[in-house]
Amino acid sequence: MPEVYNWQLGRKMAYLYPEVRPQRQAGAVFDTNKCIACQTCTVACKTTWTSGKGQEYMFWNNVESKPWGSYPLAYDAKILEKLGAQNWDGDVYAGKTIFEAAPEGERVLGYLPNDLDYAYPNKGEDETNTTVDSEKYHLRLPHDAWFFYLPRICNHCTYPACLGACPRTAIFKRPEDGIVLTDEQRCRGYRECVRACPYKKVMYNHVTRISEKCVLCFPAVEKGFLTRCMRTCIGKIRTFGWVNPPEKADPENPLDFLVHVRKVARPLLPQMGTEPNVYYIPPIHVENQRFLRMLFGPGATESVETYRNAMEGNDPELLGVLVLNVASDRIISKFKVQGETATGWDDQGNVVATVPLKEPTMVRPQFDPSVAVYRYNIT
Amino acid sequence: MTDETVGEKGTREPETGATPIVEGDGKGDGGASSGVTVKELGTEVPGHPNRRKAILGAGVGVAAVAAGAYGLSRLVNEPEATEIDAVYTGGDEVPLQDPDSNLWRDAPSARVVLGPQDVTTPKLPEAAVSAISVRALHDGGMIGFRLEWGVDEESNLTIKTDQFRDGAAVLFASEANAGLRMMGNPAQPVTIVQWKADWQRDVDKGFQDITVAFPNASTDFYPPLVKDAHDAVDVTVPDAYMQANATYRLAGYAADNFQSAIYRVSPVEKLLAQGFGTSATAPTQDASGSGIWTDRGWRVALGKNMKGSDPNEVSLEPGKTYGVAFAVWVGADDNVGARKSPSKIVLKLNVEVAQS
Ligand code: SF4
Ligand code: SF4
Repeated sequence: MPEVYNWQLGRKMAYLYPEVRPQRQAGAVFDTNKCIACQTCTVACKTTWTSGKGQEYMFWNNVESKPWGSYPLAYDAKILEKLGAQNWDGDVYAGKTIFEAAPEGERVLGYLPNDLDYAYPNKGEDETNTTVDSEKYHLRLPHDAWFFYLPRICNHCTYPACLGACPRTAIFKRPEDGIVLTDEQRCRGYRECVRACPYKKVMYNHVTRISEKCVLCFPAVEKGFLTRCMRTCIGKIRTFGWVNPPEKADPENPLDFLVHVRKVARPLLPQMGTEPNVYYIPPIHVENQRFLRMLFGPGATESVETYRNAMEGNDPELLGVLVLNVASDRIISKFKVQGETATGWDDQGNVVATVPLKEPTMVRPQFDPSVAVYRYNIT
Repeated sequence: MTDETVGEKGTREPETGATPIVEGDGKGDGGASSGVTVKELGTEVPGHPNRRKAILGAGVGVAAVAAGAYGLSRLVNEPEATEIDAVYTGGDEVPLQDPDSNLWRDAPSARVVLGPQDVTTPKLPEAAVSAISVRALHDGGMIGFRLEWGVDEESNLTIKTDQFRDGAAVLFASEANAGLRMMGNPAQPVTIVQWKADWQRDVDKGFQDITVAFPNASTDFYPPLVKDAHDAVDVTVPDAYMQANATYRLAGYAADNFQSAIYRVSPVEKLLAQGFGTSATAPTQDASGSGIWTDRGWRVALGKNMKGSDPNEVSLEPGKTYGVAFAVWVGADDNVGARKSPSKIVLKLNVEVAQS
């Protein structure tokens, strides 16, 4: 197998094809601290792309509760178990990736889920990591008992396992934006991709009997718009745009700033080796840092500190880029924080959003004498 | 049993072993339990005696006699065929729609040994079926093969994510060159006809919709097909989608992918290939065939026009020799794509001169 450089692992690794990076790579940052699992993203994708017959079970976007939730069932635990315990040596991954651990005769280490695995998309929803047996649990941060929401789409990986596993080259990565697509004309339904993707984001259509996956809403992205799941995000947890490799990081680009400059966002299960392009700001209230490092790599703890620092008001730039999330339905490729305001520009240099770092608040008296009613703080 | 020849059961039996199968091996496929006698399974070369003589006279290696593959009558030491004779039918149509037709007996049975797919990843480290029985006929226009092999369980659905189908393929090459065994190469493209058990079921019973695999499936609605929630279960493929002009919701079908056809007329696909990973549905689909589940395995007839209709298609002429290879997929073992049991060699295909 050729050798490629995976910056998330801090080393070279074996992959099925030589290293070819797209001209630009579409990517996203999801802030898990803001996700409320309203599933608006899930429904937006569902109604747009997967409401045909044969797609009933498909959620190209799903939101699962960690630590117990998963879709398909235990996808992460299963592949981690198959891979076995592995180590990091500082920021360098000393273990094996799913490519390096592929059994003889296989291209990738993987497994094929069955239909029951997909039958519990809400498994573990809102369940805490441990039983809450005393009131102290909610009284301090980080919580002793915790859970958090993990929204997931295809990661449009730099080294996609799905693409590497397909013996027919029926999966391709677009050179212009790095979006990974299944060729619906070439696919013959072998499901090698379904087996290989560690995130289980390629799915088999029961009616067309071939594989399908998240298309990163390429028709919207081509026109400079956010994807359906991103633009409908009411928690405004999602930054969508372009992400460069670290040596080409542009500090004015929101994604590069979050991933490379502040390093507040981390890939999901980087040890798989696919170099995923969706990044996560880890939850700050989770007491179990080892769990976070398993999911988001060794830098997770540092990211938590960085985020906390910003929320305490010490990093207006970081706050600024985050308040621009979903402030426009246009892709923001450049941002700046000036004074109390964050501004975002699109590719053409148009201002598409201007947002105050702190939303103005107004305190109204509880009793409104004009209509003789008491106000309650539920709206 | 309508015929005396059956292929061998797969990995469950040692491939090379002269090991006799112990009576009552529990598989329920032993001679006694299936009511098949040793004589029926036979060691004679069946078919027209003169025909057989003519072929042997031509010096063709037809040693592979009906491999009477089950129970006590197993002849695992039957020689491995290196050549296949496509016998001229004398003008009768090759019975591609009838694998049980007596016409097949006009052709000698050849025992083709299958092996693992250990050339390219993903591999199948051990053959799922160790040998198949092959007969070949041509009528001057069509060439056809009848393949038989044993398998415990019928796999003819590909609706669920983990359902794989049984299948078999014949690969035609311009010459019996070992290098062409795996999908040919750019200088010597190959033509493949592949029979698929799930397609056979679609042809026999109509499109196998999701309710076949999920009998209690219910959905709120399938936009834009119905507005009323309880109607969703009545939304059938293909009819409801065609009527509503909504087949764009079936992406593979909308993309004209032959795998996603919702009106299936043949269980056999014609493919063209010129190397690993290049096989593609041929522009013209004139291959045909039919498969029958025998309770102990498959009996499948499949073939194509001798004269190719696509550029790069291998054409065959009477009196000439070509290369031919075979492969079998066992769905119950998750065989799919490259995870197959191919014949160990490219056999020489002798297309008999067409004279009555
Ligand atoms: S997340 Fe899975 S489906 Fe998406 S590109 Fe990576 S390997 Fe492929
Ligand atoms: S990017 Fe588009 S296709 Fe992918 S999960 Fe989001 S809405 Fe679905």
